[in-house]
Amino acid sequence: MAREGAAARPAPLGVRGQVLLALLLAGVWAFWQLGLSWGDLVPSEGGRAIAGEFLVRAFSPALSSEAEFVPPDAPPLLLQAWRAVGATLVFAAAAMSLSIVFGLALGFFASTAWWSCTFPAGSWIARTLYVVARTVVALMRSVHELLWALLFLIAFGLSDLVAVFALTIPYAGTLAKIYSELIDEAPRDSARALHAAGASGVAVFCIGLVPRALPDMAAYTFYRFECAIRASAVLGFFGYETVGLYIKQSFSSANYGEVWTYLYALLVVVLVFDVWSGRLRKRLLA
Amino acid sequence: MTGTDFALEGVSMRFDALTVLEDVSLRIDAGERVALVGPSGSGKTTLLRLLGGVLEPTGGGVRIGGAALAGMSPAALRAVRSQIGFVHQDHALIPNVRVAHNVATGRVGRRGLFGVMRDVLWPSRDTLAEMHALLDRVGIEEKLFERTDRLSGGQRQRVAIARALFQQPSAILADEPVSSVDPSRARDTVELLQSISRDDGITLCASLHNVELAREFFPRVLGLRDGCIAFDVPSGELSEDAVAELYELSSNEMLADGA
Amino acid sequence: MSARVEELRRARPRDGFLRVSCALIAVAMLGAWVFGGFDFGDTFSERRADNFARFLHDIRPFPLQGREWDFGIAWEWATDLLARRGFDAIVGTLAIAVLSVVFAAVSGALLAVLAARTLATAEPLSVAAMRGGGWRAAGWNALSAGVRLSLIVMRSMPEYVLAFLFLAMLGPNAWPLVLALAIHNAGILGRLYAETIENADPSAPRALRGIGAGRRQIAAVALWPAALSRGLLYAFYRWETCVREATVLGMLGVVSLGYWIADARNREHYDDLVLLIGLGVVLVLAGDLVSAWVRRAVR
Repeated sequence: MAREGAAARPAPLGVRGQVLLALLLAGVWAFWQLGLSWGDLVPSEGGRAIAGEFLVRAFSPALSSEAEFVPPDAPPLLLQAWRAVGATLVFAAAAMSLSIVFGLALGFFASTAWWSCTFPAGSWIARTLYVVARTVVALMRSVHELLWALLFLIAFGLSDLVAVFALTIPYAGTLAKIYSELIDEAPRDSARALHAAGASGVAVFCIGLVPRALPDMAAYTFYRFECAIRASAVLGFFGYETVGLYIKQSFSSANYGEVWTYLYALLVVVLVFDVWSGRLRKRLLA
Repeated sequence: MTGTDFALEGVSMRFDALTVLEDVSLRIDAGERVALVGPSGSGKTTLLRLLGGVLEPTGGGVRIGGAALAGMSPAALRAVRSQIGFVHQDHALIPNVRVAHNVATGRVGRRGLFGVMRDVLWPSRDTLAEMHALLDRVGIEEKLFERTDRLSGGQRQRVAIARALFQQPSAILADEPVSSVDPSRARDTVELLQSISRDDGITLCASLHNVELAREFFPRVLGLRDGCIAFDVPSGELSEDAVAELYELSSNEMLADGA
Repeated sequence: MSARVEELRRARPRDGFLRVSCALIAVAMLGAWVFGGFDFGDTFSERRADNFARFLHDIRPFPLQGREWDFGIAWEWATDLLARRGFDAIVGTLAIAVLSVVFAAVSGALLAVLAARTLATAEPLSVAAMRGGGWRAAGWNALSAGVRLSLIVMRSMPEYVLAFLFLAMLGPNAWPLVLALAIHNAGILGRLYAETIENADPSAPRALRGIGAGRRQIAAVALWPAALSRGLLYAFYRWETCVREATVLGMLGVVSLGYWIADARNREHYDDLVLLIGLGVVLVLAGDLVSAWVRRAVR
């Protein structure tokens, strides 16, 4: 292809085409690097037995406990599933309430608008504090909530409250990042009007800028709430009494019907939330 | 309420290499009504922003109510700005809140952040009545609790005026207040501004594209061209020639318009 | 006057759905703290403080236990660990993230064509009024609604749960992780891509439809190129989360960073564990940088 004169012609691919091509090539490299083969997608003998048994039960989830030995004081399965979903929601809601508070506070500090409102232009203090805030936010969100949970589990032992903190740290970081970006991208015209009316920098920021970003911020917060429900369900794999714990336990003891009961319970909650937040999003951004 | 007076003393304004105003001196007395006319890019908006204490001139001095702005503390400067109602060309309202909330923000210079928050979230009866009276005065009293982005352009303009009035200003500066409304509404709006200025005795300075409106409602007309004052005359003495000369395009301005 | 204000206040337009939603969320958050059964006393107990003190002791690099801090030794320990584990971990994690994002983007794009309300109808982009054939229209509607529902189901399952289930069926290779990430993200990207198609300027596809182009031709010629920029943008947003998730999915027992983190935990080598989590931070931040750089290029 590298014939003479080819260089004179415009590149056959634009930047986007090149990125797409690079992405696909990277995919091929990853496939080779991971040593994957399409044949591995078909389960081996043992796997096939489990898969068959498990998938068939999708049509007949358990309505009562399938365990061989059921302790006399154990609650019925459906009540148990109800409680697991409740616990999942409690962890998610508690973590989100903290995340919103810290996300707002950190989001203010991580936005350029905040510092340009509170400090004279070009102040090195403002620039330093901005960089510090951005770094803190980046560190908070670059450690996955499960890794925070693992660290806290080792450092403090199993504790519901600590699990909430583990969820809160990366979620507050993510909210702070998005909030700050939304505030910085908000139109500045009403801020200009407040400035001309004699408002202080903080007032310009809080009344002129934040309300303009608020619908987007609320819509994103709802989306994160949905993510928090999923994350809180997964926390169960680390021993907290959310849906994940029961999925893991039931699957390990090959009570696949129970697994489906819990999966459907989780699915319903997330589906309801997905549809709900989708409609809210349309209202908010109308 | 009494008006405030303004003075520009040899004011120049440069943005990097671009000179917008060159050695402008000007006095506006308390309670006076002045129209600013001139082609686009002649420096009208910049002049208004200098009068409002929003911009700091690169040369010369600005006095508002007799006090020089240069070297004033930020708090004192804010106090000066809170005395001046500014009506922006693009209204500069918060679109996704109610009209009452937008009006309440007008008093931010005096009430501060928490005062405004209170007026927005738990407004007192008196505050609501006051805002309603202002909206009544600008002719849209039924829109008190409407969402601002549901209003028409002309209605938004009136909200912006009500917000400026809620400041209890001693002067109103209006930047092209009628550029976004149709001719009959434009007349109503200018008439409204004129009556406010006359009834409350507050100073009014508005930039206008329409020389006829300027002549009809403002006793004094100031022509601006290429960052300099072309004429400054009582509106009765404004000649057609002066107006024609003001708007005659020089090659220089054609470039500026193209940009 | 005051009566009139009151009258206006009563008649003010209100969004009941929005208010009820916000109230519900607020109540849920408050309720979680009040009735969630959190034991505040226990969390700040002495036992936990002791545990924490022991943890702080344990994360001191192993060769420096009971010795004075020495950067040389710490550096040697860190580089040794990274040389033994770090490289494999990084490459494995990145490969899983890359492959899942490619699968997710490709399948998301294919599903989006079927999910987009403007395209997946009997009359694409409604150039002509719907002609007779009620069955045909109903069929398209059902297909499109079905695809949309499956997109929701795909994205509603947490990656970790999916990976856990696939692992039991497919055995310990990278497929379970890749599939789990790809399915979840295809659900998200499919929705975003469908929205992109729905919001796209319909004039070009309409013109094509007018000269008799078919569904596939419209998609290939008019929609793909226009949607490519957004498509890449969204894919690289998801790439950031894929890197994050790929680091932890390894904890289920497949070689990525998470595998070595779980390994360090099982051996109670907490010094290694903290260092590997630090490596994860670097990896995630690098992924974000790549994403930001590419997004700026394609925007």
